Amino acid sequence: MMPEFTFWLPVVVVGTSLLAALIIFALPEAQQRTRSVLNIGAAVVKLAIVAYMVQLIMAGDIAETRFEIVPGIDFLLRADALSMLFAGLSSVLWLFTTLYAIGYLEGSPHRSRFFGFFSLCVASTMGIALAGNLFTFLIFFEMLTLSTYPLVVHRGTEASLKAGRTYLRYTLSGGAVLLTAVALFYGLFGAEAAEFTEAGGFQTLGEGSEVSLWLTILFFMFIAGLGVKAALVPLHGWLPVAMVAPAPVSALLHAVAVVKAGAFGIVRVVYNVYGIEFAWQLGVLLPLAILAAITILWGSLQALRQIELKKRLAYSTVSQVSYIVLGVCLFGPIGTIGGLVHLLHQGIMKVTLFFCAGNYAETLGIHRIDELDGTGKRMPLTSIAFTIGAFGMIGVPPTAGFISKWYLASGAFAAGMNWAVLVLIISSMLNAAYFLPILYRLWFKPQKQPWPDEQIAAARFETHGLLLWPVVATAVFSIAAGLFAAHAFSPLTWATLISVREYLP
Amino acid sequence: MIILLVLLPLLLAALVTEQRVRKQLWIFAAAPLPMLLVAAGYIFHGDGLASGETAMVLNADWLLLGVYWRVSGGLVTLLAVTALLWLLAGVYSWQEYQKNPGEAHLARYLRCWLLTLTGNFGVLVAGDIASFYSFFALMTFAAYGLVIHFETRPALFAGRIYIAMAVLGEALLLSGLLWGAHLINDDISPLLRELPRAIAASEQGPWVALLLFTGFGVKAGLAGLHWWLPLAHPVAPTPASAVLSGAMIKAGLVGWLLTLPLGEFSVMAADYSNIAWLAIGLGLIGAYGAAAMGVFAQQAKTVLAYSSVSQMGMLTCMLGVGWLYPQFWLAIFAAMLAFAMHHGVNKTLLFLGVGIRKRIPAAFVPLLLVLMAIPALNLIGLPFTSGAYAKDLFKAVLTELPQPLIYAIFSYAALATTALILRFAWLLR
Repeated sequence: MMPEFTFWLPVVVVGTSLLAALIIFALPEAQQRTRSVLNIGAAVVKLAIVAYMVQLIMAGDIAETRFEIVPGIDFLLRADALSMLFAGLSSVLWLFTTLYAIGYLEGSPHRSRFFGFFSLCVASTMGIALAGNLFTFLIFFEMLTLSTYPLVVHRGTEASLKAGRTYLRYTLSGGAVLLTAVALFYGLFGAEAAEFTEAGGFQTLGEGSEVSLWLTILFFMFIAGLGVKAALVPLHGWLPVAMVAPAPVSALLHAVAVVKAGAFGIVRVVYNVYGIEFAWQLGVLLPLAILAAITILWGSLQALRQIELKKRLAYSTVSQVSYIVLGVCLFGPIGTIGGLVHLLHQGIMKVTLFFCAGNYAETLGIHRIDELDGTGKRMPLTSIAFTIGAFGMIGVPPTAGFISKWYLASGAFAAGMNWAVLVLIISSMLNAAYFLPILYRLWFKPQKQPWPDEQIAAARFETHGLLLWPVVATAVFSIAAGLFAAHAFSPLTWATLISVREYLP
Repeated sequence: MIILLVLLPLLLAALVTEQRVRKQLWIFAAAPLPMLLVAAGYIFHGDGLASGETAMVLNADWLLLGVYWRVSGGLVTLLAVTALLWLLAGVYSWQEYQKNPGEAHLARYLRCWLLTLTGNFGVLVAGDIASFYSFFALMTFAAYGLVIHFETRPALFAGRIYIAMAVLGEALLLSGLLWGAHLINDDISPLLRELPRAIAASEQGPWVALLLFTGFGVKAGLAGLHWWLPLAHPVAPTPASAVLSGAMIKAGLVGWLLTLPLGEFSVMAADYSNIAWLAIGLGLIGAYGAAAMGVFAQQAKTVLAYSSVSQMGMLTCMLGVGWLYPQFWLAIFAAMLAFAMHHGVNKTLLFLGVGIRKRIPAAFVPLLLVLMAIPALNLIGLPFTSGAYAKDLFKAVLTELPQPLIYAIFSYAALATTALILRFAWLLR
């Protein structure tokens, strides 16, 4: 029988980036135009397919690709509502990051290698988004680790090689723990249970003491394995070090690819493997919530101490990604919405901030926060975008961050976890404490010294167009996602749809 | 329509450019004018808006978490007065900066001015929690640019205290709003007007009320949370001080009036007398304490700032009394609104007077001082002044209460005001 058209859709989505990666590797370094066209073309095609699949899911249709690898273990790609949350984020941000990276790396060496691994990285992210069971998830999760490494060490300097080693040490250890956990899980509970299902597969299982003990142990093994990428304290050490990577890589690392893959994995394990109700009964959510709370506060406190812009942003990511984890642990639909929507909101806001940091570095040679004095006048659009992103991180309306925070805190109240609200409020104040001084420098301080290393002179616009417009676009998204949150096509609406499906019996 | 009225300053802010700002100073006056005309129209034309009525309703459930804006009967007079004060201060700024073409950072100042104005209008028309909080935050953060405009050392210090207190206030406020919204079960972001009843009906209500009381208290210059006020007012440009004192601190008051469980409710699950007494106590401490500090101040504007803390203390005291005796709330509410408007207008005039005093030739100074005596005497509350009218509204209620002491203490607060005004006059002579 001829497989249906929808059978191939998930494969095509992953395949677009994979194919693009292969062709880019084969292209000679000098063929810049072809490579750019290919990159952008693939990004646009993928965005279109994802948009189409979103339509399918809204209609209740689910595209699924399944091959049996060995008896009992399937390779399964499936586009459900939650996959589309992550896939949508990746494909939108990939497009912008590609444009940005083309501008950013103009004239630098090894671009073929860079864009090849860049595409591979995105292919892995799409695979993670669409993976339908633990096995498939694991494959793409490891593929992501390996394809990101060359991007981190791209510059080839001593510092970046060192960062790369740290990165590998952390992520490979995490991967090993995850592999063990997945293998044990298949052995103990079978392939059926390892498949991601809405509302989870465990609500019907008996609760023998031994079974729950194993499930608890495995849960924390999953968290340990995934938590490395999600930068949960104390597994976050690699993230601030990896800041030596070029700005588009940092942006991708922080907003979509690596960190989000970890957070998304935790969402999958809690909601689609264990099931939120079952995980709640098992009593594993509270410890995870406490861990997330510690990470939120720790990350913010560390961010306060940084003097390098990108490092401060990195610690801010440590803190913000745990909002997602905290939201996942808040038992109840509102908290879930908060966690899921923050997956998107944090992505667009953080990508904006990193693009801005990249613009400052690339245009004026600014890396440290105290060099930012008076930059608002020289680079107004970038600085406005930075301001929007910063206020979003603090959670000031009408930015996207406010919506996340409002839902997270409401969810915490609804779950009876009032202490989590306190954590969120304190974290917001800390966010204000480390972002407002930057804004003060941008807008209120006069420029006190010549720019450290002015590369791009101010012409019609403040910097190269390919560096500027992606920033403007993501900044507009950061506002729009908050301002039009209640609209039918907002991230919030989509997260609500998912949440409803996770909690319905 | 209401969107345009509120967001007009924001749109005008987008027009301001570094190069052309000297020709754009008319924006100072143009931004609040339409709102003033519309609000005044509602007050003077026809029957006006009764206190429970709303007009110009905007219901956009696809914006934020569902946006609901309105001009409400209870607040329309305050809206008109706010617009009037911004207009007065705006005209002053326009004239002043036309004469001083060398003024630095003028474009930044104008932008911050317009953003603050948008926030101030928004607070008065927003009916849903999310947009109310948006405007409140916009007003708070944008006003930072007004406080530190001169970038002198004291101004930057005042700015730091201002922003730290503001962030603290926002945190308290957000906690209170979130908690309050949680008490209203079926809606993620409910309307402001549903808050008081929900808070009253909950046993956790006093905690929510305390958070909201202190959160708005930062803006309203509540004793203990007022530190930014005497620092910020003297260092800010004169028209900015005028709107800070006249219009913006009233936003804190409006927050109290809109969200706290004041008045009579069918279900009252907890006892609020403790918070009410706290309000009365802090109010009186503010009313007298600010006077005690203010008479030693060396600058006329600092004295006026302390006077604002003192006057807001009286309002806080009125709030506490109204909270304690819900049956009298409606009368006290009317008295508070009257008092707030009376203070706003007179305080703005005094601030602008201080600025004009420095600009005019010596021959005109006596005339100016005579003119300024009018708002000064108003504030003291001499018979037949607006101060006397506002205070009498409240005292009429007080006489019916079994608390003769409050009557006496409140009445003698006029002495505190008098002392401050005398000190002010001495410094200005």
